[in-house]
Amino acid sequence: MSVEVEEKHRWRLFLLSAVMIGFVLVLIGQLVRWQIVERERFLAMAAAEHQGARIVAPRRGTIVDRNGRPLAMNVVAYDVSAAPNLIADPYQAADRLWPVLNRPRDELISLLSQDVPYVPLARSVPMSVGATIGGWGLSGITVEPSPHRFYPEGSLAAHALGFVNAAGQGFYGVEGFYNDLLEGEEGVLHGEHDPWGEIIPIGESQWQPPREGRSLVLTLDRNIQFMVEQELAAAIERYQAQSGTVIVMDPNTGAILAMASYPTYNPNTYYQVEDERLFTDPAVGDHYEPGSVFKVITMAAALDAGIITPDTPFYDSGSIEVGGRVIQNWDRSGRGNVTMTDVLVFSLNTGAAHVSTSLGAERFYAYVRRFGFGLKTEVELAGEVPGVVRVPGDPEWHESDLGTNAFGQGLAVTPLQMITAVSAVANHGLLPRPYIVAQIIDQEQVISTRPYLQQAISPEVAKELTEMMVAVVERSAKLAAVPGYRIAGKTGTAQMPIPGGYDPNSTIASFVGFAPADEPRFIVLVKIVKPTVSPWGTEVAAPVFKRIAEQLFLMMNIPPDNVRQQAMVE
Amino acid sequence: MNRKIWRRFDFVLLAATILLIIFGVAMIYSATINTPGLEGLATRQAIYAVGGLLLIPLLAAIDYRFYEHFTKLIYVITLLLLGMVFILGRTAFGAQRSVSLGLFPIQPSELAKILLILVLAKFLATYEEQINRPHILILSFLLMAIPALLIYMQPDLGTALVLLVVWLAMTLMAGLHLRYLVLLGLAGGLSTPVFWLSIHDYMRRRLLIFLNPALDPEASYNIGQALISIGSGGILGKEFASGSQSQLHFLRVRHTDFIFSVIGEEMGLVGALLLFALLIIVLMRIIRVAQLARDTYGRLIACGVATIIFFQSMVNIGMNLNLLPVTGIPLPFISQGGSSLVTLLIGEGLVQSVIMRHRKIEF
Repeated sequence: MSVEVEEKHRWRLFLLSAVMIGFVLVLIGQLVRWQIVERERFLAMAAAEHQGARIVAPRRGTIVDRNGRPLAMNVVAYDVSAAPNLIADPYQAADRLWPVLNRPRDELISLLSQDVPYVPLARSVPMSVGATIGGWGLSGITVEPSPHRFYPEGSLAAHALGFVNAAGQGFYGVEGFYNDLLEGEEGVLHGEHDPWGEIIPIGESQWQPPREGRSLVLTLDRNIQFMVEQELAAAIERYQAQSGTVIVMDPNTGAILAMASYPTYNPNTYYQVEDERLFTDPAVGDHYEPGSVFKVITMAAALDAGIITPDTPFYDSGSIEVGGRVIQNWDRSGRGNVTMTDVLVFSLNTGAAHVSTSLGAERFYAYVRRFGFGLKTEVELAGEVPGVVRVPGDPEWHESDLGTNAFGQGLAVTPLQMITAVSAVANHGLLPRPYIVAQIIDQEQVISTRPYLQQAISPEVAKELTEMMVAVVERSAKLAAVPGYRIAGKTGTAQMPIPGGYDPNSTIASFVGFAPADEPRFIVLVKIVKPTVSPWGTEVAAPVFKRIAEQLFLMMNIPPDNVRQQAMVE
Repeated sequence: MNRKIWRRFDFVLLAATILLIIFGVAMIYSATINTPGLEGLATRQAIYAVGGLLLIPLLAAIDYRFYEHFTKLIYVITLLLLGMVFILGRTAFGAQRSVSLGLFPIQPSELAKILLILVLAKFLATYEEQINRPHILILSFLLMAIPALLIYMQPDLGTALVLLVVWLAMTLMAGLHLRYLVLLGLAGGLSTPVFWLSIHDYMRRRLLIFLNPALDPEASYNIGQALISIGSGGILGKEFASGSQSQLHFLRVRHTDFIFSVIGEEMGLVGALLLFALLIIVLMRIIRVAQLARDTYGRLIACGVATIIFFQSMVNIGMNLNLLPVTGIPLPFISQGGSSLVTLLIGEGLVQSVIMRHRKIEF
């Protein structure tokens, strides 16, 4: 072997070493780039991958009636999903899944063959199906329990309750109003998880438990609610009416015992409702012209202002002019010399307009406002409207409004406002704030609603007005009377405003009454929209009140007046 | 046997190798510690390592020139072993690579690398003066190409590529003109379309993904994970057995092809540089052997072994760093895999045999 050849070897080995060192430098360069220069980027990517936060859903609070009967509760159904990228054999998985999930096999195969990490397969399957699939332990198939809202009484008190959508959001009623309280607050489990999303128990983690939703105890009585709904539906059938609303309240506190509107819906299947206007609770979300029931308020104002007494005489000529507009009675006739009580008994528009004009706009509207009209009652129900009361100063207010407003025309109120205002008459002049949530239960803590009362008129005036309203039932609205009980009430037959005037053919027949008159236990508002058999409140709404009142006396254990008064004497 | 020759045994090479193996076993332990079904792999690797290390003095004791006489037999055995894969082969990840021989499954393609080095070393040493004559060059190429083709058909593109590079390095060391290298490069470039059409789908996909990782999110997943692992490791790493990406199993095949990413994540830049340093020591010691070898045969054996270690290291680490496509070539001494480790240790045994008999006889 020559020296030259040996030199060549050396040179070549040197070259080989140089090439190697060159490559190593490139690798080190890349390593420095990733590990030092661009490290932050990769750290963030790594953290994003395994430092996940898992949201832990709180349990939605339940809703029960005043006696603890469940009205809204949670049931567990199961959601089935798949991670197709972890499924080795989509055909085998589909073969097992399709009969229980009730989905076409081909559809499942194509879903499971995708190259994605998550595919929902079925929502809200019953527990048995969930348990079956979960028991197989197929890798890549996840069965997760998910809470669903369930209303055990079906459509009972649907308007008051509202409903909860698939995303767990409450809408309408107390579900909507108190959604934040009911749904609670999500808990978060911060922690390291593996590529399958499972939290690693020993990893760094932070646990912030969910705040469970608060439960509600309503003032509603399931039995009264059921009875009222039956009566309302029957009345609408009987009078061939379009719709209707009944509210039963404790006038002493403002607690709503029953609140029903018809037509209604089943919140369990809220998604089948085609016209979403059906969700609106007419008791708080719709306003109407109350008609003659409002004369109670007019009288209350005038009595409290001291300008009349129940016996103040009035000459009814059959018509009266206010602000250039001629106001007539419902039968267009005059009754000559009458008292204020007669004005209420015979529901004389002329008398009411006389009273309101005597009172003057300022005082009249001050009382209207004091009774809560034109303002929301702040009841715990979603979608409440304030009604419409035009007052002097409003561009649309006209002098003649003072006359028509006196008998409930030209202003709009909600049924809840109307019954609440009359409650003040029943309750020694104290106007309650209506409420439907009796208690909010927050884990161990119970927050009870305390009735809120405001003096609207003096107790004496309330007593006088009650007697005038008793006269109404005894002398005119006799269909509302229940033997053995003194009942105070007032009927109303309001025409329905349409553009350019009033619809001559349709009315809203209503009645507000409370009993027993001397010591009221309940107040009931009945509102029947567009009855066709008879248009009159006296003939349509009063009998419905009677039927409801009869049953309330029994259900609430209210003895006939003479029995009660005897007991008091003894 | 002359006892004095044991003084020339390269203990530095052996020490660096043992350190590499310890490093590797530790990282395999870390990569598989929480993985059901893979727990025993570190122990298994350690057993293979002990077996392989015991082969080194045995092979060192045997004069490497002894094998010269059996070159043809060795070549035939090589082809037979590779042929067996097709008959008895077991499939691993879509490729037939191992043959069950006795207790341990052994990959003939791994063993073939060392056997081919012996064959090529003899051939090139014999025809050293005529190496630049085309028919010699082509003959040497065919010697390599036949087993390479068999390996490629398994299919194992990576190992076939190792054989090609070993041949290239050995012919260059035997005195191939550099202009032939240029010509070879041109020929390679021209044959690219043919190559492209003839390779398997999975290989084509891997190459395409390497060129454009966004092409297949599923397959580029691990490349991305490798980068995240290494990048997030930083200078000092996240401590042994504590890498979030490795320990939480985001990184797949982390104990074999992607073990460098585990090192990068858990031991950081410092760990990676330590690995480089140990590999460089091993390579430099083997190149020193090539320098001191008493004959061309010994020199070429050393060059061949160095080439395997170097090329596999570069390709594997380059793949982990997203510089090269995913080929499935293990990281020498580190990646889990008995055949690969034992083969490399056999290679080192041969190299020790060469250095013990180098021509500058010292008295």
